[in-house]
Amino acid sequence: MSRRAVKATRLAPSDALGEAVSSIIARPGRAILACVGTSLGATWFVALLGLTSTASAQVAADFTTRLATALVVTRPQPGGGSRGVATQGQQDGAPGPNYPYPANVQQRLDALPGVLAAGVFWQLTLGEPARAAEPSLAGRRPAPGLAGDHPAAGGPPVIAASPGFLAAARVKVSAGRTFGTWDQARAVPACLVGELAAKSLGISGLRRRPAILINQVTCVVIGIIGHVGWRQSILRSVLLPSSAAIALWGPPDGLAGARAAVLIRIRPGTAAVVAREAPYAISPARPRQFLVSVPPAPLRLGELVDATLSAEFWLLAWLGLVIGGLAIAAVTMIGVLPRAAEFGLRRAVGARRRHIAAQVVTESAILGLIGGLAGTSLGVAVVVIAAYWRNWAPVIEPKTVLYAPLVAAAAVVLAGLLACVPCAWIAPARTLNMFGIE
Amino acid sequence: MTGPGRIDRPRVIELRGVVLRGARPRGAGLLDLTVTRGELVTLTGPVGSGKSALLHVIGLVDRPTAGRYLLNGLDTTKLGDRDRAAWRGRQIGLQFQRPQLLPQRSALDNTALPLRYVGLPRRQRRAAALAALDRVGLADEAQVVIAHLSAAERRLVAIARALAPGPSLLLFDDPTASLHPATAARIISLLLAVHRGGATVLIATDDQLAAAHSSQRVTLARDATWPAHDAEFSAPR
Repeated sequence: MSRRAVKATRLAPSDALGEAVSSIIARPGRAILACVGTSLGATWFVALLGLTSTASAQVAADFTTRLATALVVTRPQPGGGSRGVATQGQQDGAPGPNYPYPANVQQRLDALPGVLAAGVFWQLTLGEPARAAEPSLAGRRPAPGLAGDHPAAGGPPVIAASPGFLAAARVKVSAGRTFGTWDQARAVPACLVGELAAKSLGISGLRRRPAILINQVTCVVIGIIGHVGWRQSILRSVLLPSSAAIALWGPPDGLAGARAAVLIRIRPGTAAVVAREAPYAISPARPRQFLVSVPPAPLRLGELVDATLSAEFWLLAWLGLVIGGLAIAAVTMIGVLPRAAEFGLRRAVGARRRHIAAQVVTESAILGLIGGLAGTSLGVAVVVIAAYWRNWAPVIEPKTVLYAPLVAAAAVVLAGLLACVPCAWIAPARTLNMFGIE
Repeated sequence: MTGPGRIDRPRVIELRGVVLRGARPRGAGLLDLTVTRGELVTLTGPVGSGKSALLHVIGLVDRPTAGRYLLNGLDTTKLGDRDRAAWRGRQIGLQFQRPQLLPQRSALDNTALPLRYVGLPRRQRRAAALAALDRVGLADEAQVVIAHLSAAERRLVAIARALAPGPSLLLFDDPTASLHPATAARIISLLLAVHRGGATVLIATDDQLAAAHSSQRVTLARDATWPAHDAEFSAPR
């Protein structure tokens, strides 16, 4: 023995790998337990993140679909007299001189690429609320004395709409029929009642040919609206042909609050183009008079809902990461701690602390990667099955799939190191007696 | 307390006022011992007297709670993990009282375990481990998993593991326990041969043959005290 320092012991990387593989093979039960624990943690992590992104994408898609398929054109300063744009449109059922849009606005907009349907609508400002009436009085003004018998407010809103609006708003009746070009051309006082409005008016079906009194004019109910693809408030409203509204009460008056607008239903993805082209299509001479807007309220609501859901889901995902990591750490520690004696023995025969750490890291990385990959696959399967079940498109961030096995392996390695450090710091003779090996 | 010639040889082990873990830290509990290169020392004493604890301290797998331990002139209290591991791996062969083997691995793997850390190539490791197993008479059981070996065979594997790296300081803790008398005699002969090869050997044993060949016979009392002045020394060979 020389007095000078002895040459340090060493552990070649290939030896560390060989020792790790031998240790894993020597105790398959322990290795399987570690892999299963790790894979469960990774499954939880990936499934939660995947379900989060899938649900978020679904919420976003729902709102995007609704937002991108409806545009509304308004005229902030409706034309009157000489400023009107529709003075030339004096056809059958055509609006009067104060009408803010050309008579053929629907055809002009339909000609635009991307436009599926378009139609004019406005809410009527009436002195009296609409109420149910006897069907035999349809189209006639009742005796003046009757008006005083009704409450002044509280009836369903009445909307004047062109047949094009019904198509643009995707109005579908649950009973009866909608009004069409024939009713529009003849200004027939026939109306559609929303499902909720029908309930409030006491109309349960069309068998008894119900009618409604609108500002002392009796209108026959020809259909009950059961579904609408735009504002759900239509279900609480009464719709009648715009030509009939003009014939009975004149064109919409901007000063009275009854501002006419055009609803355009478009193909998804064409919103920008249609919004730019629509004012020119309506009035090539005065496009600046028209304002095109995507309904703002659903946009804000959508963003709010999306943001709230995302925050909730991310909280869950982080919770999943913590719980998954703790599960992995617990399983790893259970696997490493009983090996204190083995580590003590290895140190007694020349291993340094770093050699013990290297072996634990190698073993943990192998088991962690295997478990992490298995868990990631299982997590992806869970997301796909859940999405299939809900008829959603499964969405998983590529980073999630890439990082999950690495995160799992890192959790295993970290937990393994934490577990082995105390064993490596205690004198080998004492760890040997902690758990006798043989 | 020293024989002729012994004083001239370099001191391998020097214990000065050492207190073993769990022993009384005062008076007779203080240990003093000097072992020179190439000595054969036998330790005797009843169960619980601290033979194993003393070998653990000398083998650098445990630390004394007080006192100084100079190994080859180096103060071991100042040695870090790197140097202690280096001494344990390259210069010290320690056979524990219990075999302390990896139960799921073969006798060959267990014997070659210390060689993993001394940087020997795989083939040389295998050759050295097989040679060590051959010396204890277990060459035929090299590939047998430890769990399938008898208690006596496991003890032999533990001895082979201590011999495998060819250390200069060998520490054996009751190497012949649970061995057949014939096997025990063969093992003691083997250890004596290793000693004759130049190694410094400490054996905790009651074996008379070993005691007869030892240069120092140290007796420990039951309560882990160290009657240094009562130590019996035979004349050096």
